[in-house]
Amino acid sequence: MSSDVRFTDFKSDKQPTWCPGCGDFGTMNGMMKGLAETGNDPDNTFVVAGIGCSGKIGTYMHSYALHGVHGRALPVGTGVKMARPDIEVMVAGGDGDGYSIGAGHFVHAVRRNVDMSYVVMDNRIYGLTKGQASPTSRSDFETSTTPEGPKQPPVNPLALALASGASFIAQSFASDALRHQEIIEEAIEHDGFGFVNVFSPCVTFNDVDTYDYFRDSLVDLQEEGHDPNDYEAAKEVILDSDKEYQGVMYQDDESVPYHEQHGVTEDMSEIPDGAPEDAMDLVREFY
Amino acid sequence: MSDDELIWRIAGGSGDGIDSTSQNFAKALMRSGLNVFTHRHYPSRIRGGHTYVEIRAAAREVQSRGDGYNFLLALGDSFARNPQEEAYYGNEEIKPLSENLDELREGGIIVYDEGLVDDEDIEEVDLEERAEENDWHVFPMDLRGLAKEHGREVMRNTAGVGVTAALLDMDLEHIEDLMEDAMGGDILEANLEILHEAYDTVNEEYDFEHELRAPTGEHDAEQALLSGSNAIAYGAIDAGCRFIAGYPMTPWTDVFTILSQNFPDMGGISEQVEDEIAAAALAVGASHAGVKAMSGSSGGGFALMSEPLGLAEMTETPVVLIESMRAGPSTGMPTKPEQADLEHVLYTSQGDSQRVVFAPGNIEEAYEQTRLAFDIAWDYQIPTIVIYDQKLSGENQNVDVEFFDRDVSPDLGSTLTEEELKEAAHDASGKFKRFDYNEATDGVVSRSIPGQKGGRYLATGNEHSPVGHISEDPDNRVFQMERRLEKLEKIREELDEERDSTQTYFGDEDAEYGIITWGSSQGAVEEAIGRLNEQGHSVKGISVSDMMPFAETEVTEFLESVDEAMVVEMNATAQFRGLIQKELGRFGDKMTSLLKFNGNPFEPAEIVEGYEVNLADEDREPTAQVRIEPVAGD
Repeated sequence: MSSDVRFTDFKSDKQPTWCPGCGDFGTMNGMMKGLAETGNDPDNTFVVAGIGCSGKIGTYMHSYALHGVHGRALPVGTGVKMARPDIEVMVAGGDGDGYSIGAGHFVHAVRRNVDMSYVVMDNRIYGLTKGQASPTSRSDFETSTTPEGPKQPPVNPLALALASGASFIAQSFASDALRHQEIIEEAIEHDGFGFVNVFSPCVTFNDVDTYDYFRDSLVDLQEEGHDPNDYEAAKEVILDSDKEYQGVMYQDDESVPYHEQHGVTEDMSEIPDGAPEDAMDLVREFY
Repeated sequence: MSDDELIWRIAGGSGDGIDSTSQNFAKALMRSGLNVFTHRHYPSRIRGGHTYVEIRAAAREVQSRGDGYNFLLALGDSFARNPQEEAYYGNEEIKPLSENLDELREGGIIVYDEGLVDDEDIEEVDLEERAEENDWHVFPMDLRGLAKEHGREVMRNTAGVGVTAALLDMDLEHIEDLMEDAMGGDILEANLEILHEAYDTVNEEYDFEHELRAPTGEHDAEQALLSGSNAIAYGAIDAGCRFIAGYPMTPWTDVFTILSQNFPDMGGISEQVEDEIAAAALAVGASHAGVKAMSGSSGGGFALMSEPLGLAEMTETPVVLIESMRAGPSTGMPTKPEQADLEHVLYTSQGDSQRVVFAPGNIEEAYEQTRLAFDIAWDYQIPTIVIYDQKLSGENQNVDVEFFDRDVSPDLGSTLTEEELKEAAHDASGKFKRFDYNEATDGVVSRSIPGQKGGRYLATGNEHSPVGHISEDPDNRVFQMERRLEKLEKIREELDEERDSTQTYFGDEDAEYGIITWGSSQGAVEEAIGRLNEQGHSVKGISVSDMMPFAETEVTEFLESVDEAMVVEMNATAQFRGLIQKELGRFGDKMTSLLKFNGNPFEPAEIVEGYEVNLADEDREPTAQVRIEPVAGD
């Protein structure tokens, strides 16, 4: 990896069309800085995103990128990384993308433990479709499609990840640039599926989960002396619904990523010695 | 309905080992020099229920299951017999015998396991009376008891094979060889003992009054017994594919299983994922990253692939998807064939279709068109679908091994090297102009692969500019859309001018009556045309594989050359005939349809009859469960 990569090398010439003040600016900056700081080259980096405000990130970053189908960023990213363990893959998405339409994929991407990072810009609202409830919206959050609030508890994505056998679970806040970047770097460097839920406030449609709210309520696990390798301690903070935490909640230090579990080689065109090479080698079994 | 063929039906319960027994018996017939064709009939359950496998064997080529059959081995349903399970499975032990009598030909042979069937049940099916009427030769044998005496009860299939061989005057050599390949030790010994005991018992205790004997033949090349699923899987392997993601669904699971058992050894990847959306999306991701990748499913799972399929179209990511049809709508009849997903694969996903669809009609075509699908997909950066069905998926046929003696083609098609990327067009900020319509050849702009220096770009499901940025500019939209659609025209040109035709023709070239078919109905149509011409009629046929881009020239020439045509397909709404009319805009007054959608494939005699009914031009209805759909406007 070249050491002279700067984070601006990951920046596209396209100016984001996010609303001024959107949390996604800070989230993306942390992603670019984290990628540069961990020694990644933009030519060797693949960013995959789904649909929604978060989905546009591939346009604003200058790496290889794919802006796909709503909710399906994880399976596309999984395919890229499985086929090419040498590529750094970062999947980005929103709370709707990851925990609603793509919730099924989230559970299985976590289990599969492919060595990539997954950054969810969680603003607890559907922004691009102009302000409907999301799976992480509060149960009394009134929106155009939920006039009296969803009347359902919000999804706890960290608990969902834990229950699915995650090897890395973290949460950050887009506005705390330094800590956010540090946490992203840890997710990138983790040997396995590095999941980070980022509080990324929507300044236009969400007047509850605001910058001020997070600034006032956020507890930093690092300052609390939390040990991410301690599963029981992780469970406790993840299930604690009274507080909002930032930091690495859980990291399995014995995590074995997919390509090591399955012995995936970097060049699939090389057939291992002794293996069948073509159909001729296989059809003779059927005599 | 020639006498020089054996059609052996082994019937029993699911889970009774009928598949493996029949597979080995089919191989034994193949090794003896015969051409074989197998047909599976099974219910959607793991154990119990009526199931059978038919093996047709003859010295000449056999392209279909044939009409009816002439040898029944009714094993009895062991699960139905188990009193503890009776409440669940019902009392069905007579079914392997009773359910199979209607299609047994005159003069046919019945062997049934009397150890599993009660006398009063036999009385109920009027076996004696019917046997007399039809000149059937009935051999009740205590297969279960014989197996128990020399080994274990489950070995009764072996006893059944021994009885079969004796009654058909077959040599045991090939059967023994295959047993030795499959097992060893005490189990092999017990099975061999049972085989010989059964064989000798028949020869000693019965006088043969029946005429049926195993045909004899000779192969001039090495053979292998393969299914359409094998052929598709091997086509993918030889095309250099090394990545498959899938989700189990009958009948697609066969291809997925074969590749899951081979790819890891070959350095590739097979991943079972959470659903078919993920399956196709993983394949798109892997392909995008530079590995030849595929996925597939049956109708219901393919429906879930609509979105990733559209993404592959819009991002111009090559991918091959396999669709193995079964009877629909919805869950339909999971283990029964139908050709009713044609419109589904042609048009599913929003927007104008920008994909290629091939429909192979036999095992060789399944291999060749799967390879072709990869070639086209990677050369033209377009998703390509191979559509076939439960019939072609599960039928086994012998194929010359030499057929597979081909070069493999791991080539990634229209991609650039890092050197070439240096010369390629970039925008001012250094982004590779991946979708530059000014740089296109045949609609294709060569792509970069992630990891290459200087190849960075954004691929998006939105309409996009030459560097891949989201764009709603009207001019750009029209340029990009026309460029992507131009690929289909160029693919058509390549298929017509540079490659051997993927359509298959039968019969008299000068005939004025034509039969048109597609996919797995091909074999029965070929046989029916042969029979009609032998009877003095003049009929020709075409089996069409290129669904999109449609084989316009060849089908036009065919239809122009005949006065009338009958379109044969396994669905209720004449989807393929509709496609012909849509693509060609005429010939509606020339085409009638012969349709079957009861879950069983066409038998040649039904097509012969369909022709006769059609030609007679009277109000006669064809055989129950086959429908004639009149010409357009009638």
